[in-house]
Amino acid sequence: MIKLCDDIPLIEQLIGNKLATSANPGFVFGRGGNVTSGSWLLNNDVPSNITGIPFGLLGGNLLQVWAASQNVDTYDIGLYWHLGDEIGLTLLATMNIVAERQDFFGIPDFGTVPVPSNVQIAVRISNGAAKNPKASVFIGGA
Amino acid sequence: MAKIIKNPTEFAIPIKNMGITIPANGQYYIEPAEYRLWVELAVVSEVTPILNAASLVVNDGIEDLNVVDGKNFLLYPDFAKSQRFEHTTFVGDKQFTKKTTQGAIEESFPLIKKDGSPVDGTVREIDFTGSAFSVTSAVAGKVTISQDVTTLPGKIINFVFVNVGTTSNKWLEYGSSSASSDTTPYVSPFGGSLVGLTYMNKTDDTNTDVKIYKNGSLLFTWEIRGKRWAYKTNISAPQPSLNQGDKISVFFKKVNGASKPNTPTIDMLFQVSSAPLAEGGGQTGVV
Repeated sequence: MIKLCDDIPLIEQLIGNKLATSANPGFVFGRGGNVTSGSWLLNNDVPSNITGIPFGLLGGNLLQVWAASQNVDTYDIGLYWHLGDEIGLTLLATMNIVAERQDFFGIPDFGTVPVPSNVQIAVRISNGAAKNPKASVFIGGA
Repeated sequence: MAKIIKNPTEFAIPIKNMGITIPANGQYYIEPAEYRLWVELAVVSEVTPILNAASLVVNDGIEDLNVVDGKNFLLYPDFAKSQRFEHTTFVGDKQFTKKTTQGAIEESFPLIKKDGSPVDGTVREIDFTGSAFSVTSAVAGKVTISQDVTTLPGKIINFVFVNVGTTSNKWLEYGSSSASSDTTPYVSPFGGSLVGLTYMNKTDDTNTDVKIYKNGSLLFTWEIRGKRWAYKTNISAPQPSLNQGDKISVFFKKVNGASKPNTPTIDMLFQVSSAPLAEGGGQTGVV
């Protein structure tokens, strides 16, 4: 005899976590080749400092940043917002990746980082270099 | 072929529209996936003045390119002259000297002078130094030929007088004017000397005096006796001369004792001595 009252919360939690992981890849930036300091990652084919990924939620807060590269690389990622074509370009947070192929950052790493509404999000390699880097950015809001 | 941008300066150079910064005394290797981004108008506008100032230098993986070639290679890759390749590579059995597609095309179509002497030029551009013509053409097929009159002196030009049927005491026609040359003579655009004559007609054993007139005055008489054809280059000095704008007519004077010429041709050869650039003409008074 199954005790439904005991099992339902567990299933909801389980399903909820999987959906959250698979369906919310965040904003993904990347660039091919050996990407060196000062290079902006691309939003599809466009440098994200020219056109970033639009963010329109109210009360936005930076939640997570995931970084990946082909090689074991050491580099810094700068996360910015702007209004297009670098207008109002503002640094939100910097993440340091040290000799890793992938790294993960959360609020404990960068603290509370509010993100304005109706802006464009951009990412660049601000120090070091990475081979074929990718960055996923998660921003919460309402 | 690679695409590399070098920064020989002491300062990092950002290229905003590409989202990159090329470090001082460093270089940036362009990923093939990003080649097309460099032809975006905004990038071209941003990069062109930097390349013009030689603050950035384009390298094709083999050598640094000059400003013009660098811009073409990077920003205008669809131009034939922009497409570079490793020139030491054999294409079939051909090893090109030039390093661009256009250069290879030019090498594939060498031009040869009529006398077989080497031509220091290509399909695209030829300079026939010292000859009568300069030729410039393009891969696209456009060809322009310009005559350089300064090289004409010394050259031989010819013009022909004819008449159809029996010709006795009659003016010949110049070219195919269908009018006698006393009213429509040959007009010389150059100065020069009469250096050769040929005669041909349809009848054997003909007699005639070929009288050549310049501006209505007798210039020279050539006696044809018992000939069907003849030539003459031993024209006594001083050779009859022409000036720019002189008008030449030919008359066949009857000479008894043999057949009359039938449908004769007189080909006159003049050696150009002066070819000044000028324009002239007249309303009346041909000869």
